[in-house]
Amino acid sequence: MPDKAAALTVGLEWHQRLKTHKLFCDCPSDLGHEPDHSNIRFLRLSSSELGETDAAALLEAQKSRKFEYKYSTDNSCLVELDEAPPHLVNEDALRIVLKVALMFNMKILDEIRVMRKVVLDGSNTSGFQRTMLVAIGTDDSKVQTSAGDVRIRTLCLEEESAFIVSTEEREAIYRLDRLGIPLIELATAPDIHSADQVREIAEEVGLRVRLTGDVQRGIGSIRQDINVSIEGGSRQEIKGVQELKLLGAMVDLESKRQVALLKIRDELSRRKIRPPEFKSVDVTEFLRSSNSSLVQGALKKKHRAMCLPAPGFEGLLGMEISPGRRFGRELAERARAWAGVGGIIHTDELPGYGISEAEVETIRKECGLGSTGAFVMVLADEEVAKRALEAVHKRLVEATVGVPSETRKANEDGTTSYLRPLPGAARMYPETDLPPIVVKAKVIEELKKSLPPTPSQKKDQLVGLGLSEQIALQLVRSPRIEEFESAVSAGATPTIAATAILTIIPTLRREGIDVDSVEDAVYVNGIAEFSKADLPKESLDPFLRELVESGSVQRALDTIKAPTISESEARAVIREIVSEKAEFVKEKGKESVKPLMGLAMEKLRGKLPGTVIHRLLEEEVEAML
Amino acid sequence: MPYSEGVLKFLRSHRFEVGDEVQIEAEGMKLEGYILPREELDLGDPDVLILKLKSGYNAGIKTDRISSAKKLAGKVELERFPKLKEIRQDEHLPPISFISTGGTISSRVDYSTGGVAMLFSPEEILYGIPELLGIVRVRTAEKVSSLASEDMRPEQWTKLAEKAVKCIGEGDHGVVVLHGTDTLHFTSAALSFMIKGLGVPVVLTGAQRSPDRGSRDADLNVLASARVAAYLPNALVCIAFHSSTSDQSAFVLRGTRARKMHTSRRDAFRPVNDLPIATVSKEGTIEVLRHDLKPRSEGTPWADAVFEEKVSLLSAYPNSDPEIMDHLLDRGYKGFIVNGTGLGHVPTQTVEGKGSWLPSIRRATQQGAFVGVTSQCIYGRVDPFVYRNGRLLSEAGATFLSDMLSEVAYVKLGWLLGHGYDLEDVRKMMTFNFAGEISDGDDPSTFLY
Repeated sequence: MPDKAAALTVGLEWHQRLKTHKLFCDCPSDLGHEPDHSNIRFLRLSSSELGETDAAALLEAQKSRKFEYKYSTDNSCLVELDEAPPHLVNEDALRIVLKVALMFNMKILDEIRVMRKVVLDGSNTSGFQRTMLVAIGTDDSKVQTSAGDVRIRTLCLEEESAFIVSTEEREAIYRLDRLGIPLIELATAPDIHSADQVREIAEEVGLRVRLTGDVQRGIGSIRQDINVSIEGGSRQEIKGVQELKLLGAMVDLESKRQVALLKIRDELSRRKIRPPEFKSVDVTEFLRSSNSSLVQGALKKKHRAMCLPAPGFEGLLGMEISPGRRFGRELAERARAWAGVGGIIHTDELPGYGISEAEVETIRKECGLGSTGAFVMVLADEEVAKRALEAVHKRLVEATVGVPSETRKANEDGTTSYLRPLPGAARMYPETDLPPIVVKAKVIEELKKSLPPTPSQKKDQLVGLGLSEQIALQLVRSPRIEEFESAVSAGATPTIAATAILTIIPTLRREGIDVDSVEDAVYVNGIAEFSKADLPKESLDPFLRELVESGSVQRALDTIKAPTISESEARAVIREIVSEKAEFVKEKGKESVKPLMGLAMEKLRGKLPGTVIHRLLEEEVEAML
Repeated sequence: MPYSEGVLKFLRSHRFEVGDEVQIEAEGMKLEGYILPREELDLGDPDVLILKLKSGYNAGIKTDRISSAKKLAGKVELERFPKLKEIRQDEHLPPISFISTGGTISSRVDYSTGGVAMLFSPEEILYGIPELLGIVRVRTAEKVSSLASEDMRPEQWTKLAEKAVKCIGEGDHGVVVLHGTDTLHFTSAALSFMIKGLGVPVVLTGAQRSPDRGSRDADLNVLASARVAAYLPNALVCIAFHSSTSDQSAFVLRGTRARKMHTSRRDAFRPVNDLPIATVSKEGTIEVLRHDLKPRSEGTPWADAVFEEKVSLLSAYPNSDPEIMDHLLDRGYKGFIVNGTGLGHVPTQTVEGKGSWLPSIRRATQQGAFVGVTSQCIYGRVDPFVYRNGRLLSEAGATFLSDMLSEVAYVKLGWLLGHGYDLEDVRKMMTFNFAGEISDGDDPSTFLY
């Protein structure tokens, strides 16, 4: 296991959206509205961003990208459009994060100052993200895990970025609905030392934050960044892990990647390979008559075939460093990021792509390489290809040193890919449009009285309601605890609410029943009404099935309470329907059950459970066939 | 407010100064950063010490929470603007000059404190907007004031007119004036009246976004203005500003026909009772939309830069007290523009004559002061004939000022009175079109354009 082979150090940055309106305006934090307006902007670099440079470089730098911002006025206003100053900070959001800070024993600053963090990728219309440091951890601000305590270092409140719809080399499209939603950011110290521990700490932080009842849930509402390094490797910032269960895998794969990169370095050193010289060789003419459709396609576009000799790297370019990802992929990602090319071709995959052994030989000769020498080839415009090869070259040089520090993007399979170099200290300066926020001791004292319970306090509360220890624990860990509490406060019997939420609804989902078509509020109301109706516990399952089927609490209750018709009477009704539609049934066979169900429900809804109607219908259709 | 005596005492006792790198422990928090100053108008708590932490965040901590503090080696690096290499300009491009009066557009943020510093030299402009190098030659760039536009006074208008005339006399193909936006349309009106014999464009522009941000609007506005100054085939004082909230093109508006119509949007300047005279695309294409403009010409303009400061712009509204006019008249005021309601009305036939403006207006005109009427509707034309109140007002000696903007009428009146003309002449000239400020047309498409 790499965890043991190399000491692993991980820090976690937890981001979660808060359940309140946007941070610097009154727009709602909801994403439901399709954009019907759009705006075109260009972000400019400020001269202090550029440093000392000459006019040509300046001009190049200002060839900024074009950004299109799509928005709906239902959730975006002039503030998101960068056309009006920010409103005063959302006090609800501030209160929520202050509570979280107190919950983790953090110390709150006396004066919070909103900062502008420069962001020029277009994800903020202004060119910066507004963020503020709210609280700082002490040695007592820690979360326990089975492998030791992890300290919480800082808590920030910041605005969410715009959602990227699509991106090209010089153009990107964003949506503004997400921009400005308040985000809590909790950062741990680098006290995490294994994949299991990162999983554990993430679960624990998530649980504690969730127990405030003030955070958004669901896809996209939580996002984590992790900083990972192994001994002898280097720090990688992995951005945007959305799924908790991927965190552990990601840490594992990243440490394996670093181990592999260190192996490559050691092998290069064993081969006595020094950092290669940069040389780009135009080999287009030797590929004119190539059978490779890739090459011919490029030639048609008047692209050139440019090669970078990489003697000594043979065998290493094709070495696997993460599942399904070879070292060559790292080179390709650099080429893509810095020159916008689609990919690269390297000798460890040649002959291939229709390029013959003989052609490879010729290219080697042209590059001044021996019979096994490695090279990397790019098919593109001459200038673009050169830029791509320069980026590849830089990565090859880094390979001789070890693991380059990078900002990497989290992929859905747990691997990561190159995003950009690790940033220096972020350029931050005061948000001059807003006054500082003075935190009054009195406010803190008030908040201390209304802190959310710890998981064990919460569990005890639930046990007090008459639930077993085990069920209570399960509920505390469930993201559905809010529905449970709403149902109970609406009059539901706690055990019934817990059974519905923890057992029956998940079972229905596993059976493929579309339980998500019913809104949470309907379940809450349904569970409460069911409890009040004093029905036998066994009816809960059919009741919930009926609720999903009909979408109506009253109808589901009516059905469960009193089947007003016997099964044989119902069968007669169904038989009549089936014989009326005999031709259809014969033609469609069993397929006819679904369309006929509608007719059957029209006649029998509320008289007996939908599941029974369905069964009878199936039986009658089969009988006819 | 600046730091309280308590904080200052803390700093003294630790021999700390603003800018020092320090390490502080407070209730278990360990902080490292630089001590920041607290500005005079800071709205925070003066008992709180502000640090710039290594992470870049600013954080405030009360000194009575601090248990230990020591000085580290560093000192805050105050913003150092990068050194500008000499920029070679293309001698074949048309020469223009920039004149700055201040405002958002000619400021720059000190990233360490957030404070705003004024800047101005041709290099600084070119460095920030290098595209200018391929469009014009920036012959001179001069700062005549560093004022927010609400702080501008008539003497800045006259100085500006003289400066622009001088630049044109020295060979500029056009002049760009960088100005705060709040009263930019007052200045454009003043220059429209004060520069005579103008043969090239004088373009005013500004910025609605601060220059530190990537999203700043100034660059498009300045580029459009430079293009207009150098290449517009017409001669006039105009304003170039974003045409929409997108960074795609700028409108060129007549200097006497524009108004700031939004507090914060980048397309705040709109034509009133008029249409844009040209558009300039981001890519640089100038499209002239009108054929009634004076073409460019040779010859040296001159400045007719006078202004009578004893003029006032008053507003009429329910319960507005006309005594303000009497008071000003007694203090020697020579002219009034009354920003009236609707078609140009003031409280006239009120119940028991309470608050009627008629006596005051009659008294003013009888004493030789000019009273002109415009409309707070902003759009449209005033008319004395439609209602009885309008006729009464006219009869009392007020002059109805057609479709002239109130702000423009105010500037025009000060300029005319600066010449010492008598009331009859002022009346005639106030309704005479000098610089496009009055028109006969009533194009329906101009409303809310």
